[in-house]
Amino acid sequence: MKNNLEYRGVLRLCLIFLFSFFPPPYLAHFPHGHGFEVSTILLNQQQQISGTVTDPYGPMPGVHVLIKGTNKGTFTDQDGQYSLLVGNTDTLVFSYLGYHNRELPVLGRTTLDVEMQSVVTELQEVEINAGYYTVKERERTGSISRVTAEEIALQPIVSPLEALQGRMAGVEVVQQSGVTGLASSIQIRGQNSLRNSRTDNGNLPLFIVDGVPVNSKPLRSSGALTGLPGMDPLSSLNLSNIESIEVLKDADATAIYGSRGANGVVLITTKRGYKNDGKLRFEAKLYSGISSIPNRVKLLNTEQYIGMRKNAFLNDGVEPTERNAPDLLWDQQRYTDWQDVFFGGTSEVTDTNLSISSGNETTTFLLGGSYHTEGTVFPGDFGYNKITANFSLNHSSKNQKFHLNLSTNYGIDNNRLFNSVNLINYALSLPPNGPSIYKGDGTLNWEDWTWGNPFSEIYKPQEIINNSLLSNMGVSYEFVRGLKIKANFGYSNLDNKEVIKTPKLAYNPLTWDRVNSSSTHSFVQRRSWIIEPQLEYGGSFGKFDVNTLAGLTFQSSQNDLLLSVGNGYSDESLIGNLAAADETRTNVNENIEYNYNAIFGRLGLNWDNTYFINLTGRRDGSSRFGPNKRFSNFGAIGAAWIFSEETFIKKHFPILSFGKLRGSYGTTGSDGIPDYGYLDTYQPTPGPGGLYPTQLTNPDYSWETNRKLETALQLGFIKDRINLGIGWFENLSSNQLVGYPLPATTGFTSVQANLPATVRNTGWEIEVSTINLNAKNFSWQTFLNFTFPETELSEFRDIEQTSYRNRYKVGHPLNIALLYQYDGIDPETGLYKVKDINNDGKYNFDDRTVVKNMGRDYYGGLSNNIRYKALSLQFLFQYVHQNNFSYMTTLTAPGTYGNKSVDILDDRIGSEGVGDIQKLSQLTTANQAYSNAIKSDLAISDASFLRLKTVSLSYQLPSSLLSKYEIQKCSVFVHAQNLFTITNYNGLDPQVGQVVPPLSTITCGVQLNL
Amino acid sequence: MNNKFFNVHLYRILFVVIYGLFTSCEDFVEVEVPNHKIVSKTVFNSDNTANSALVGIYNELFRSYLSGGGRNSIQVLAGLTADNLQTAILDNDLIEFEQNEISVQNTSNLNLWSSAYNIIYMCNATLDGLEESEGVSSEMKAKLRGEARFVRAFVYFYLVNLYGEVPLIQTSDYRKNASAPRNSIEEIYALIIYDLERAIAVLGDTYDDGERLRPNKFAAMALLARVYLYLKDWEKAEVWSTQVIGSTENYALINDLDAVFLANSREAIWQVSPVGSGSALTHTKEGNLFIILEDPDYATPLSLSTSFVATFPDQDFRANSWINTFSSENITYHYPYKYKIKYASSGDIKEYSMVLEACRTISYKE
Repeated sequence: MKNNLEYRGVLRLCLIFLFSFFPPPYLAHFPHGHGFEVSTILLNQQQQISGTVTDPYGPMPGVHVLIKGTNKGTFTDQDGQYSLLVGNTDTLVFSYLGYHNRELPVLGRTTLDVEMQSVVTELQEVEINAGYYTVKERERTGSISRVTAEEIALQPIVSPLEALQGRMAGVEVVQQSGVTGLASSIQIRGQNSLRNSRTDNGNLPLFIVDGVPVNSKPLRSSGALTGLPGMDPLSSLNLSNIESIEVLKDADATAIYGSRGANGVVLITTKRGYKNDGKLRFEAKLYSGISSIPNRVKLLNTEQYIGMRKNAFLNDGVEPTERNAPDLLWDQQRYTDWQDVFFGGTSEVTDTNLSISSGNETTTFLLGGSYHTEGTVFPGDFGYNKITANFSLNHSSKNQKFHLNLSTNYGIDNNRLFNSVNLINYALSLPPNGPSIYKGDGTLNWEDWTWGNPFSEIYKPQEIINNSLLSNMGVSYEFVRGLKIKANFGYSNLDNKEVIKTPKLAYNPLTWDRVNSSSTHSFVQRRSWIIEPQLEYGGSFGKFDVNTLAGLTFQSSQNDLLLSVGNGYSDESLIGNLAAADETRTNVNENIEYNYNAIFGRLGLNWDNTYFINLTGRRDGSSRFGPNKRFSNFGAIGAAWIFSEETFIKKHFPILSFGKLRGSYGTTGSDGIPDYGYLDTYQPTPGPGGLYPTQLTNPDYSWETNRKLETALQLGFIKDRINLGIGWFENLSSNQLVGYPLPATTGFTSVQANLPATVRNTGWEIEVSTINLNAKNFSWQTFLNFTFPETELSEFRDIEQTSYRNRYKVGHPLNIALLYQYDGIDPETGLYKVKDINNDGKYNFDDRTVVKNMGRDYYGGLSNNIRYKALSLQFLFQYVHQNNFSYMTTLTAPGTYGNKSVDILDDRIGSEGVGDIQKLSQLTTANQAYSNAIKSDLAISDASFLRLKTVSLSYQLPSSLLSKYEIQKCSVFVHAQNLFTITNYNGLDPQVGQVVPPLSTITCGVQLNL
Repeated sequence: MNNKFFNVHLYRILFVVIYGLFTSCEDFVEVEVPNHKIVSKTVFNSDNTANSALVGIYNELFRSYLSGGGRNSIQVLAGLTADNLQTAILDNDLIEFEQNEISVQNTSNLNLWSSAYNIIYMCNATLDGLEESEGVSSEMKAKLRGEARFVRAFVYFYLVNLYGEVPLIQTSDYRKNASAPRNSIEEIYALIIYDLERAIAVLGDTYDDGERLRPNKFAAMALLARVYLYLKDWEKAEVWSTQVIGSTENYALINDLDAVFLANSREAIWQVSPVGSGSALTHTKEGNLFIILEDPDYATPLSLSTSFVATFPDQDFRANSWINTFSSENITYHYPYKYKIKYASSGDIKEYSMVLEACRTISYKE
């Protein structure tokens, strides 16, 4: 109760504080905006007007000149000249892509020369979305990275987050495999929480699409190819409809999101209609192309493989038999490239995008739709397709006091795959002389495969259907000058359905008498609504500018999950219809409610456009915590000083066109923990009719807190042609909400509690952008970002007594491998040896003393935009410096059954302790030695890579040609994704290891604006 | 309405609205208990749900390492230390039990120990819940308490025999239990006997629905007889076992040895059903683990030791019915064959895992 009173007290103070800021009502009567009215008495006489349109580099051809409010207009010619019949009260609108529109009244003039200003040179003027407010790039006090439509739109990918790879400092996005629709992992400035498992991950950022929070937890999947990362909750968005993605990183930017901001915030904004004088604007984009796996592992061919096997038996002095060497009894000449068979296919990609938009001074709208389809690189009839529709409406009253915006995004996608546990394993390790997959009659060949046909997994189809609706409406009314009342209403609904079918056909016919056809079903529904009333005030008092904001959030989410299994179908065609199953079982049926409530505010102060202070704060309440711990406060202060505004700098350092020093400090939290954890409850047992307690209950656990500190310097040289940003950050995540270890005598081994464990993330972020050339016909821009991250578990008392003891080490990064110390090849046995550190004759975690950082050491991206006349080229390189488990960890000892990497060919095999490969042997002792070695530092290899992430070349058809056909713009383009990767890593994917690597895709297409 | 009036009042209205919104926050973040969870208090508020808590314990006895019959169960680990079983593959944890040199890190040992206390926690939580309960009828309360005491005694009986002095946990409060010291063997046996006597006093003499999965009075007696046997109190052991054997309406010896371990066989005093696994196609873990159809591997790591097999005289029917062999190239493995089903092929469960058996109770007497 005390808490309650205190809370109300704080609220009252907040309110008084807020209301004191707004000017008293009588100011509203001050006559402003009604001073005088212009009366037009002149007749609208027709006359000819002509002129030249230029930019700083000379005359501009192809500029659209339009009489405002009509559809009459023309284009400038090769010399930038135009001529038009106008009325003397008309206004002309000059527009050109990449340049600011200019509106100029005729006012009786007969010549009117115009200079256009490029958008590019005004990078500092770009409005950045900071969530509840926007801020000019120049004036921001926080750390916000941004990618825009131009960088995203052409990429032939399904998940928006993948578009961020390599483009932002401090943002690590790792595509988990080349399987379409999977959730990528995203970490903004490192791992903050110790809880990093699929089911309990405290490191997910907050996703907000057009003001509506989207649950960032990957969608659950039971499939073997999709289960581990889970499916992307954003996959049903239309990539071409994204206007920008902003990532908020530091305390100043994230504290306004309070308890949900600890891991950063990803803001996705969709496109809106343009003001276009009521003219309908039609845009079409179409591309098509192919994808395939970019690389293979180099494996032994049949001759090499058979040789290896025979030598192994020779070395061991063992006679090969049907039992220990079926592969030596198979055809000794036959050769199959199993990588080719399992994922060597070519997938076709096609994407169509249409939108129409229009708008006048008060209302704009955009209506769009898209269709995306992909095939598969796997054998069989699988694939992915997605249909989206989007609508955006903006309306302002004539006096600009009332604004309304509405955006709705709907998407449905359908992912057809198969449930394969062993796909990669089969592709990499089947003996190259393995028998044929099919018999002559087209049925699976089981008998020659003594243990099961590897292709049977293709016959377990998996289908995932996602249905997502995201809608947001915002209204605002300025009832006193500068003071606005606003409200956002958002709704999101995501239905996800998965069916995995396992027909008898997928089993060996010998077992058909004891196996059943079965199906696994999952139904997920995530529904959420949000209401955010806000008050906003902005005003200037001389050199002093104030921007304030106060608001409330009410959010309620319902997450439902139903998992069922159907067993025993009488006919293959009925599989999946639960009503036809002999037996159905529901394994999980959860209905989780999550309510969230907050009051937040911002106070932005600015003196003379030089000194900036930004205060943000939030008081949060979340239903994930017990009654005593439901509310908590978060806040941050950010400040910036644009020192290039100082006369001293202006005078003495004219080369410095821009200079800003900024810093921020604040706290955020994380409520990314399972729901209802504070309740002392029983749950149904897996067996029927029973209830049991599944955990110990601690009603008093609380938020993980995250303190963020940042300083940064931003410099612009030579009229901002060179921009440099250097930032340093430190995030301390403490109060870690983990399982507090308990002796087993309590019935359980841990209880959820806040531990005084601290994770420290620091790092340097460097961003450089340069305009290398900016001539009329030739321009070249370069963007570079680099990040040097460092994560350390700086404190964790009594870690040795917790279940984390074999996973984390105090004083080391979080993403580590604990390994044996490799001790060379034993000269006696010819086998790998690892050190028995404590000499107890056993190999266990006590001996795994080598600690290797498996996270990124540093990473970055380099992109270039080059334009020559109508031709433009963009490309992005991604570089990551890191370690990973080498290819040897997926294998068994050299000499044993199963294909091996060419690394083990003769010249590198040490029979008497020479070389770095153990002797060929198929004995258990050899496998034992090998399995220890792959848990040693021998198995860690350099997995740094440089990848040409995207490259696109486009040609814009000359407007003089297009204008005849009423076409505004038409361009053709070729785009490639993951074209090549340079790496020393010998496995499939340097980032994730042995998975289907991210596909390499080449597409070409056309974009048309009418 | 003039403008001034409007503006002044707008402020007031806004103030009231927003103030109202703020104060409603507290309630807003209060969520109801979802329907896949039941608050402990509610569980012990009606006969039905309280009964489910006991059903939950029996279900979990199958999934529990201790009593499930799997690789970390008493059956296997004690069988290894007694040299009845031997490892057929390289498995460090099991080999340590076979050689009776169990290291601190042995995960099988940890699993056995922690699962035992997990079941004890469930029993204690039930007893605590029933203690505070007002909604459960007194007959049901007595019966459920008796059963919970029985299971608790059963677990402590194994704990004290495996580990000697162990902490005697009798509450569900982890704050207290976390620092509980070890108790003497006498104290532990005193609780076991007390629990079983209370169980005998309140439990009935028939089985619910003919299923021998919930202990009746005789199950408690049979266990108590065994307890006295271990305490070398032969007289009391005889007294209690005589009572069990006397209950001929419940128990009899079966001549067909292949039928002894079937579900609800008349030799069974108390069984654990694989139904606890939650799967439709389910079978005893013993059957799945012991029966060797291919070369031993991680899933079938054990066989009967040759010395144990040799102890059976030629004409012993048990050797014929309850032991089977698998031959691979030049090795022959003997394996326990009390349970005949390795993989269930239909939804009806034919075999239950035997915990207390009439035949043995007779042997106590002898």
